[in-house]
Amino acid sequence: MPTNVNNSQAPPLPPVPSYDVDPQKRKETPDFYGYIPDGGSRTVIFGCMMLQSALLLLIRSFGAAMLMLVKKRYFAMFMAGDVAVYLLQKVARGDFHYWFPLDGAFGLFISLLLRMIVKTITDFTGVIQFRGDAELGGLYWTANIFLALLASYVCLWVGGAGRVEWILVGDASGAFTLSFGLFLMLMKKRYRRTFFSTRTGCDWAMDFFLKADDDAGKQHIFGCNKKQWAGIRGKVKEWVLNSWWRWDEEKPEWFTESWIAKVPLDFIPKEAKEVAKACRESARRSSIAGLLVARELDPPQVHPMS
Amino acid sequence: MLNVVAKRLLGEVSWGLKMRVTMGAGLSILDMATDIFVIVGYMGNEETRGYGWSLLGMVVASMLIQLLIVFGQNKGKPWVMAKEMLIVLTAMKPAVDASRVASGHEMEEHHIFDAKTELVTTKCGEMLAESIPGSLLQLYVLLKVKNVSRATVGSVLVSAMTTGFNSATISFE
Repeated sequence: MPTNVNNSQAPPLPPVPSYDVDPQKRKETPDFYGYIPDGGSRTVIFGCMMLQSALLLLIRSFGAAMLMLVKKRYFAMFMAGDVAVYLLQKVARGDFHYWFPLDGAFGLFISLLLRMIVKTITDFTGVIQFRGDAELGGLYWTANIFLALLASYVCLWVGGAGRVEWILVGDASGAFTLSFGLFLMLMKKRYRRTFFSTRTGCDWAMDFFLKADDDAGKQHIFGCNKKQWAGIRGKVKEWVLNSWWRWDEEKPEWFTESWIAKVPLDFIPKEAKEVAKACRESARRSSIAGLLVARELDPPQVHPMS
Repeated sequence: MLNVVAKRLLGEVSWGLKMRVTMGAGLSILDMATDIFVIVGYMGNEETRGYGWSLLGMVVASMLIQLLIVFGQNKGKPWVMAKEMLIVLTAMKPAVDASRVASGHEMEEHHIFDAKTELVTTKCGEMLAESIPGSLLQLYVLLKVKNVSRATVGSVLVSAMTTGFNSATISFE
């Protein structure tokens, strides 16, 4: 039976990393992207975001440097403890796996590595993007930022800071709070709750399927780690099995070789399994990154594969 | 295509996109220049020479990450890869990336990332390898070593502003 697919290595657009003013991202994830209002306040908001990151870096680094002056080991222990608490709560909530669609030991290693990288960057710079459910999560992000400020004061105390140091960090913290407050005031109100979200990366991944109106939206689920959407595996399988031959006829642009390569074999109708295996083999020959990262080219429609 | 048009329109409405690109490029180059200045300063002092090597290691690590990204992005095109690597080695990558995003640069056939993803990945690598540990190290040296140049304060402030810019850009663009 002929099976038509887009003969491209291009995988479907993955949901992250993302950017608030990107029209496509706003369409795909309207509950998260779109907090920056249109109009003149955009530049002020950008200025606030820039200032609060710069200040957080200075405050955290200053506190850490004070702690290192007492004993470098204290700093290492503090960082390790902070990351361990973060990872443990991720494991406890069943949210350890990163969104990359990688399995096995390598997938676990990449999840661990990226979780630690994102946590460290957020600790020192407060990148607002990382408040997403698939990263730190809204409530953890907010608590993390204010605990980071508090920890800097503890570091000053442990390091026996003088009056000048206390004033410097106090002023910088005040400026940070003002800047963050102005940012919250200027952003669209309905997105403020994203800073207090308790949802997990699994909720976020499953929403791609559960909240999408069409197949083009639902197909993004395969850009996420299978472990994240294990709770709706049956529904996804049923959707693929029921729609496969229609896609085969209609050839939607996301129905590419590399998309098929990411669909579990037991989701695919028996008659199309050989095609799927060929797609997997082809994807394996291309780079790992090619499987993971978006290609926004218009992939060419191709000839039937038997 | 629609995205490129929309992005350009949004940029024009807020007049901010080009300003942000220029500012980002300027800050990145200034950051690199102040880092080199501080490294040279540290190297000239027996007491701080070790910190100079550490800071140099961070700058090199940041560049290696950028080179790795360029390698992955242009694997099938050795000449393009060589040109892109030269851009990294001359510290112009942030500026070039920023201008590509601002101009709505379309992804090329051999690429695995779009320009925006390349910019974000590069910025995250730079923050992790150089900006965060570099700021920490310079503040540590400033507090520990009495006769260190006060110009280090300027370098730390430039690093912080550059990192702030990069952080805001990741969320904003």
